[in-house]
Parts: sequence; C-alpha cells; structure tokens
Amino acid sequence: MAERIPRIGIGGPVGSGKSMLIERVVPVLAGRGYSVSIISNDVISKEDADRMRANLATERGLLPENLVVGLATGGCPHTAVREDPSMNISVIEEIEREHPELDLIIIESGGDNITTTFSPLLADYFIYIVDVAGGDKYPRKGGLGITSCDLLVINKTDLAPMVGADLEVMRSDALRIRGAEKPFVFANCMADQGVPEVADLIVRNLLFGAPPKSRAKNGGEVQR
Amino acid sequence: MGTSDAEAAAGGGPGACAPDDLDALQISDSLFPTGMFASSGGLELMFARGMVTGASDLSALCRDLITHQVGVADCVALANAYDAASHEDTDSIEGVDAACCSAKTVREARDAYVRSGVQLCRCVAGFCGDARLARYMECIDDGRASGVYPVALGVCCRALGIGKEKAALIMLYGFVSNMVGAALRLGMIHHFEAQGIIHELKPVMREAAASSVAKDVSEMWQFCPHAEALQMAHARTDAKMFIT
Repeated sequence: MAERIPRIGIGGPVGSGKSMLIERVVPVLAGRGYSVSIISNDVISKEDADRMRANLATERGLLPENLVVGLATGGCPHTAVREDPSMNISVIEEIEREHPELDLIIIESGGDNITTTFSPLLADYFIYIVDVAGGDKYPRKGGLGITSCDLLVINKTDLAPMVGADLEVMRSDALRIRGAEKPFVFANCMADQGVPEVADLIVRNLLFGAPPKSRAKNGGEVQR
Repeated sequence: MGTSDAEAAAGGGPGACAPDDLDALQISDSLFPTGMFASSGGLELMFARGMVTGASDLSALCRDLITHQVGVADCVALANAYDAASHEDTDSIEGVDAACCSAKTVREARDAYVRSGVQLCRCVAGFCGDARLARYMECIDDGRASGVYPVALGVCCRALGIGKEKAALIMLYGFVSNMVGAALRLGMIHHFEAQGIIHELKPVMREAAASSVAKDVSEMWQFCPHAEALQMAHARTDAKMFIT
C-alpha cells in the first residue's frame, strides 16, 4: 500500500459553510506550496464538487481537475465518514497510489447534524464548522462534532447582528465546552476572515510544520 | 472460526447452531463496512421515473435481478472463488476475478463493486489471519486481480470458514437488504414492507444459492440490459443520493 497522506475531515450542518471553507482555505495552502486533493461527500447532488472543481481546478489551476472527487452517500452522510467509510477510504487509497506527491487530502462530509464525527481511519484531523445563523446556542449545546473536533470554526460572523447571535456568548461557551486547549476560530469565509488562521492550524497541528513535499525535495525552508 | 456446513451439521443435533453462524451473521450485518449502502442498483432512477413505485414492484425487481444477474453471475463467481481458495489455486481466483469484473458493464457499478470488495478484504484480514486471503490481497495490490466484491466475498468467507452455500446466501441477502434499504431511504416503502419483502424473497434466495454453488465459472451468465442501461443513465444524473 502507498504511503498515507495526511487527511482532514470537515463536517458540519447543512449550509454551515463546509464547501466555502474548502474553497477559501485551499488557495491559502496552495499559496504556501501545499498540494491538496478534495473529496466531497454530497447528500443529494454533486454540485459542491462541481463548483469546487470549476473554481479551484479549472479556473485557477490550483489542483488537477481529477483531484476533486464527488461521492454519493446513499442518503447517509454520517455513515459514509464514520460507521462505513469504505468508499471514501477506497478512493483515498487510489489517490495515494497515483499521487504520492500530495501533501493533504481534504474530505468534506455531507451536511449532517451536530453528532457527526469522522472515523479515525479516515481522517487524521477533524474540523467542525457551524454558522451563527444556527443560533448562539451552538456551541453551548455540545454534540460530538463540536466537542470532539480538533478545530471548531464558527462561520458567518458577519450575520451575527442580523440573527441576534452573541459572539461573546459563543466564544465563552466554546472555551467552556471544549476546553481552553482546543482551538476555535471565528470566520467569515466569504470574506476570507479567519481563513489564514485555519490554514495556520492545519499546517501546525496536522502537518507539524512540515514543508510542502515539493519544496522539501528541493531543500527549501520549512513553512510555518 | 467456523467450519463447513457439512461439518457443522455433523456436529450438532436439530436446532443446534453451526460453528460458522456467528461469522455469517457478522459479515452479513449492515454494520459490516463495505460501502454497499451507498448504491441502489439503479433503483433511485427507476423510482424517479415511476418504473418501480412500491413494495410489489420492488419485490419483482429483486426477484428478476437475482434470477438474471446476482444468482447466476455473482454467486457463481463467488462459489468458484471459494473453491479456488479452498484449493489454494491463486491462478483460478485471478481468472474468476477477471470474468466477474468484465461482467460488470456499468462503470460506476463496477468501481463500487471493486471498492467494496477491496475494503471487505482489508477488514476481514484485520481480524482473521488467512494465507489464502493474504495471497488474494497481494494479487489485488499487484494489479493481477481487481478485488471485485463477489470474488472477495468468496475468498473472505472461505477464510472465515463459512460454508460455500451460506456464503452465496450472504451475497444474496446483502443484495436484497441493500435494495430494500435504498427503497426505504427513497421513501418508496415503509419499514414493515421492507421486512416483508425480505421474507418473501427467502425462497428465491435459497434456490439461487443452492443452484449456483455447483456451477463452473464457464456457466456464468447474466441478462438484464434494461437495468444496466438505467444504471448508466443514473450515473449521468446530477442530483442523486446513490452511487448507482
């Protein structure tokens, strides 16, 4: 079997901004030299994968088109990344075999509820994303996705005044529910706010500061 | 680990459990990770087009697919792979694998079957050390075999000591359970109807399993062009829940 490439699982409720986070963080990572592949688990359509492929691959050339893969989940998004991640793992193994040069593989879960988690065999680093429009009861309400993820992203902060969400409440609840040592980031992905911080955390906590493979091969400096 | 059906029957009286019962239950459980839950065998498109609309339609469809594909092709491939594994005949396993894979004419279905088979092997190998399974996995890694699900299931069942006919029943039960599960998620049937369909199809599954286990790989056949054409059309659908 090919060498395992570090994998990020991104989960969150429908419409919380999973795809948008990927669309915004991949250019940041690519700008730092990291090669990424994306697997998008979609519940009902391949629209997200098609859009990411068009935006990131076709138009901007940040990755090859065939490295954005859409996967149907049979109506069970959590099963596809937790109880039975066979299809995801199989696709990843094919990618690892054919593209050992990659630095990262991003796996986007289909939109789901707050108990979503990733199988540890599937993802090495778990990002859970909620948006303020769901109410500032999150993250206080907990749920395995929010409590167990490696990084919590609270998205669409620009909408907070319009939906009556108190960001300070969300901040203190995130700290209380998750513990001060587990990071969270306030983000407005549409405006790239918080996105560089997410990229920093990925490089630091998943890649442990390793440089891009292409740069390491050429004796380049370590990216931080 | 279990033994063969015959050995099991010899070891217990009427009503006794066979040693391979738990192995069969484990590998046929929907909790067992193969990824098959994400496929509907074209049912999603058939339902969307009003071709299959309820329990009686679904039962008839499953019956047709068993008698024209799963029973006469997949189960025969499984049985031959099982026998080849028993004889530690890796060349024959490769031959059955190639024949079975080539019979999967719909690319998406073939890819899904191969991915499921490979993951099945990895999972079983994780808790059951078996030299025959290890050799088959070497063939997969070397590209000499695809790992297509019926063949993988045959080799894995042999590794676990599950009887051959019971292995064919697992293949058939998995097919029916998967179709019924897809229908449930599509809102085509309710949960009582689902179990009724499975019960109704038991004689069909038993007959298909019994008749498949003695057939040579050269006797494999299938004929379900309409279903395959619909699976191909499904693959081009933009909004879908299932892989096929």
